[in-house]
Amino acid sequence: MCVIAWLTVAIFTFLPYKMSVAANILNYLMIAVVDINKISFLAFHYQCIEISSDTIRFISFIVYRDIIFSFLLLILVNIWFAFHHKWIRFLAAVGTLGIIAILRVLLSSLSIFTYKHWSFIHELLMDVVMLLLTVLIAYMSRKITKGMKTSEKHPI
Amino acid sequence: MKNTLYEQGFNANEMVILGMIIIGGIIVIVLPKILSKASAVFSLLFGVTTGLMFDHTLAVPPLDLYDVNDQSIYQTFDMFSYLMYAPFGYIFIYIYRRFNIKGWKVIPYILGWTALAILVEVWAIKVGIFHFKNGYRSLYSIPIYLFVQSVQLFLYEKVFMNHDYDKGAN
Repeated sequence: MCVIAWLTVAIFTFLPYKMSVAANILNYLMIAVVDINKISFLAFHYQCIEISSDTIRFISFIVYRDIIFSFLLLILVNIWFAFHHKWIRFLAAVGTLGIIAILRVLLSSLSIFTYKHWSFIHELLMDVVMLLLTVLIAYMSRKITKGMKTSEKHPI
Repeated sequence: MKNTLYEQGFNANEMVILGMIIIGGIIVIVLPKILSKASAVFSLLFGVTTGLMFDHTLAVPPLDLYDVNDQSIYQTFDMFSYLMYAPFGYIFIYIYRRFNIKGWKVIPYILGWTALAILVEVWAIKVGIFHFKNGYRSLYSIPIYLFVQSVQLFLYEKVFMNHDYDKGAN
């Protein structure tokens, strides 16, 4: 998980066209609020997901929740606002969903979390909602941070 | 996860949380606007997000060091309770900006806020917001507060503060 986290952050860092650092920070904070609440409600309120109590697996889960998932969504929104072509946006969204789905299968196969009254289809639907929400959050973040410095290659 | 029931219904802990959110919200509204919109959102959001991150890492199995509010399972009111961190983050940045705290003064500033956070935490245990278990003590929260406040100030100074100069602070 740490290797995947490193790779995700590295890809994000070297994206050629990015929103301002401020917009990305606000985006990260808001994505984290929504995602942590979503997972906690599913795991500790509705008990649809069981997160492993094994320390190493739990650390993997935290790395996935706080780094990999958030940074994948950040990569998506940065691509989304850098390219206005519909197909690029569509492919970026489908690609992100695909990567998240593959990671979930990996996490599940490593017993990092197990589904009880929940399935990959439910998760996929939640991911689509999360993706739309992230784009909406990014719109707001860009509006709030208007005029702040963006990546020098291409102001978005 | 086994559920532990500490209290039921609307009592001291819920009242304190609502009171802190309302009073904090009023303070944020009343204070002169010296922070830009981006800085204000960042300051309000940072405490909420880090509070959620640490609570949902330390307060769940395998660590399971404490419970929040009436039950050990995550409830709807728990979600709202994180809003109480927002005004603290805002006032923390506001005073830093308003009094132009720089250089070595940052150290006592962060230490002072950490002491305040520990006092609020002790009070929160008394009114039933936090229920420590598995040997956890308030002292163990000190490094967390030091880390969170340092990161918040670092990000504010490096990313957001320059934008505030245009807003006519000082």
